[in-house]
Amino acid sequence: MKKIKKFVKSCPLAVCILCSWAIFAAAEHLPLSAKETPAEDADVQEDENRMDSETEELTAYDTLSGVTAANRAPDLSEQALMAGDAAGAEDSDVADAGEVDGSAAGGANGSGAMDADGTETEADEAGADEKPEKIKPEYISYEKKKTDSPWYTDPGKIPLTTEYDYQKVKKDYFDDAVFIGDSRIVGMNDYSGLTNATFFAKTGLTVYNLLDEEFVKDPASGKMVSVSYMMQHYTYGKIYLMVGINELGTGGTERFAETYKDVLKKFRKWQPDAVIYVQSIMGVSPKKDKTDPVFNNTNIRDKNYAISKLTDGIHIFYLNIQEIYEDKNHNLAQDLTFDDVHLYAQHYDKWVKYLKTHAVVKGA
Amino acid sequence: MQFSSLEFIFRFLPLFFLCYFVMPERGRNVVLLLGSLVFYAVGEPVYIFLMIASILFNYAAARGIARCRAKRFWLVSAILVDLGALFLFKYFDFFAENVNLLLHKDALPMLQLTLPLGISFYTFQMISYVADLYMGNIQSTGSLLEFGTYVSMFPQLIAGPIVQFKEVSQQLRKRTLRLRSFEQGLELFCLGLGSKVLLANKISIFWNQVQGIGFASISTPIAWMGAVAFSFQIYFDFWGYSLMAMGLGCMMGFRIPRNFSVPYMAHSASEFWRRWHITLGRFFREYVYIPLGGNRKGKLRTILNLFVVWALTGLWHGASWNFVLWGIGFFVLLVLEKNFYGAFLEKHPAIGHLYLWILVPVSWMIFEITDFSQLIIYLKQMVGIHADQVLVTGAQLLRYVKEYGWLFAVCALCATWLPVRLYRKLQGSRWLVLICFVIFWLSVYEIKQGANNPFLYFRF
Repeated sequence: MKKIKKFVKSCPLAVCILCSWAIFAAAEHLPLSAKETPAEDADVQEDENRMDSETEELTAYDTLSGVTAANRAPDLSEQALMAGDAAGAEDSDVADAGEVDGSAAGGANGSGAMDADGTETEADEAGADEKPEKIKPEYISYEKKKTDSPWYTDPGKIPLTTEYDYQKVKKDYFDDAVFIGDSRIVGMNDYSGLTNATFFAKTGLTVYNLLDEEFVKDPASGKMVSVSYMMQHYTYGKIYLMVGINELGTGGTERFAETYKDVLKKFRKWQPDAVIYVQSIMGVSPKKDKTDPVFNNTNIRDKNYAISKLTDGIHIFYLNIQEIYEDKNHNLAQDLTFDDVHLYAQHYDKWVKYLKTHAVVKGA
Repeated sequence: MQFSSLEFIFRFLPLFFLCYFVMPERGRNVVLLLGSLVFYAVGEPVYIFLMIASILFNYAAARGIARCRAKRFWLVSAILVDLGALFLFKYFDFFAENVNLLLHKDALPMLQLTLPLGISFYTFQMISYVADLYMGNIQSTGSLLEFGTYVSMFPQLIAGPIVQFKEVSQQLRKRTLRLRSFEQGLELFCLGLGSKVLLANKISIFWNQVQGIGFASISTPIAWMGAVAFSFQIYFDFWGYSLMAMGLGCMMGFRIPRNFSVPYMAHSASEFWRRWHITLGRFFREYVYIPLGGNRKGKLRTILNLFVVWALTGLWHGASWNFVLWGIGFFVLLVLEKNFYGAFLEKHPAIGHLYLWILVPVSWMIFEITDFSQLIIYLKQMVGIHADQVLVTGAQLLRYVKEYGWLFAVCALCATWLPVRLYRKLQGSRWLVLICFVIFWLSVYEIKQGANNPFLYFRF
């Protein structure tokens, strides 16, 4: 007893740390917090756990940080104010293009009538008189390898850029373009010199939080708003999308593709006249590919294969950005990156060049 | 297992100290030795046998020297074996690469051995022990248990300080536990942890960012910010580590020497090196410079001795030419200061500071960038020669300043005398307890948050 008294008296710091540690440890083991709430969906719960275990790796990608909200005002032409709210937008959409039949108003994915290629079905419905032919991406096939991962299987295929009569364009093509994506698009915003385009880019952005996270500055009000808000209140001629690296360890490929499809569907609804470019998720370097059980190129290919199937070559095009930067094994070439994931600043201009030579010009 | 890892702080350390204090005084060296071996084995399960073999061999040699039989033979063989192991693991590939390059053929194979954890540090400790015995600086070898504990003692095993046997031999034999010093050690540990986790790790993000952008595209201000960020990173990382080592030693009743004494507030490169990694400088002075004749054999010989010392100091930091260049750079500065403008810098402290603050970031870039072509690009960016288009705009610079400005300011403050003076002033007061407590939990929180935790001096 005397000894303890002496210890408390002469080692206040040790005592404080030990006591607080005991309190924290106890708090963690007591069922106090939301931990105990039953998950609606066992799958989701599992995914969340996985996400937890991956947060460490995810933070590793946060090197190019900073929210890069677009603060340039997009083209505020006569179309700028479409319908006031979401429901209104839907109506005008249906009336306007007549592409989306009733089922699309339901909004949510998997609405019976449409199967794997919801967007494609929409396209089918389009323009009864002159039906544009849909174009599916071609693939490079390779021998599948066995995988043992809850997040992916080896697709054995690398999708290629949609075959199309692309035009060569100048920088002004991007005046009404919006780039949406994760840290790779942040890098593009920072270093590509594409100052006339709009960017909704944020490090760590995923297909799951892309629509609703409020990280974009609305040029009209100066408030932070979500991408869906911007999409409903402004008009864009081209939408360039690249997400997918952050969610490699969150949910399997199926759920990823479902969500991606949903996002595309909404973009089509809100921006019926826009050309949508689905950009391939850029791969990682061979070093990372070899060592990382989650963030590797097989996983990325699986995701790319899934999203390439969502494109139709009419409104939605697949761009194999990877091919600009890959080595002979289709990895991100090692000498183009410092952290195995992001490009050096000087290499973004090749990307822009690629986009300039792969532009869809309607009516051309 | 790093000091700044949760498993060390919340598993190893409490368990170790429980065993340590429950044990009666006589058995504490055994607990410390076993604990250290466990600590080492976690990080280095294979080469732990190399370390144990080294300890046994050096002890045998030491006994040989102590028994006054073939003193020289034992000294030379111990040093040869120690340096031989170090050469094999750390320098062989570097050596082979250069030989092959010189001969234009593959004369020597690359071994691609991984560097055993802490080998650069414990090799030097063992050499210092054997040499001190030979030179008569220590009288007795101590027991094998004492020697083994001295070398493997986990606070200083993997990243220094390079403790000398004579500093701790008495404490190895007999040390009484004082609660006061336990508390003081814990305070030092918390402060060191904070330095590592809250300062070094945080500012390392900026340097990583600069590397991610690629040196070819950065502007001159970003190049300087990057270099300064790295200077802070390496200092707070290593200083923090040394403080943690001191603190842990203190908690057990050891006095581990201080390794840093506010180096960035020096007025000259010579003074900087008297304040930076003090135990390494001491090693080279006592076991290389002075045995070579020091400054007693004429001016030319002194310069030659200095050259050897600094080339070796550079090489000790890593098997690559940029480290040699870095060491030789300091050699040139030291010779210049000694013979020309050293006295002037002493007299004009403001100019001295400025001189050092410009040199230090440049020197750290030579240290950090191992690829020569990249290094040249970086140095050119620092002086404003841009070969490629600069892609980092003013707006981005502003963003970085906004985002990291406060961190640079805090680091700058903590690199002055301020924290040391504050610590001395607050010693024994409740304020210090509160500060350490807050720093401790903030650090733990940070560790839990992110995995961005590379120990710069871990593999040396």
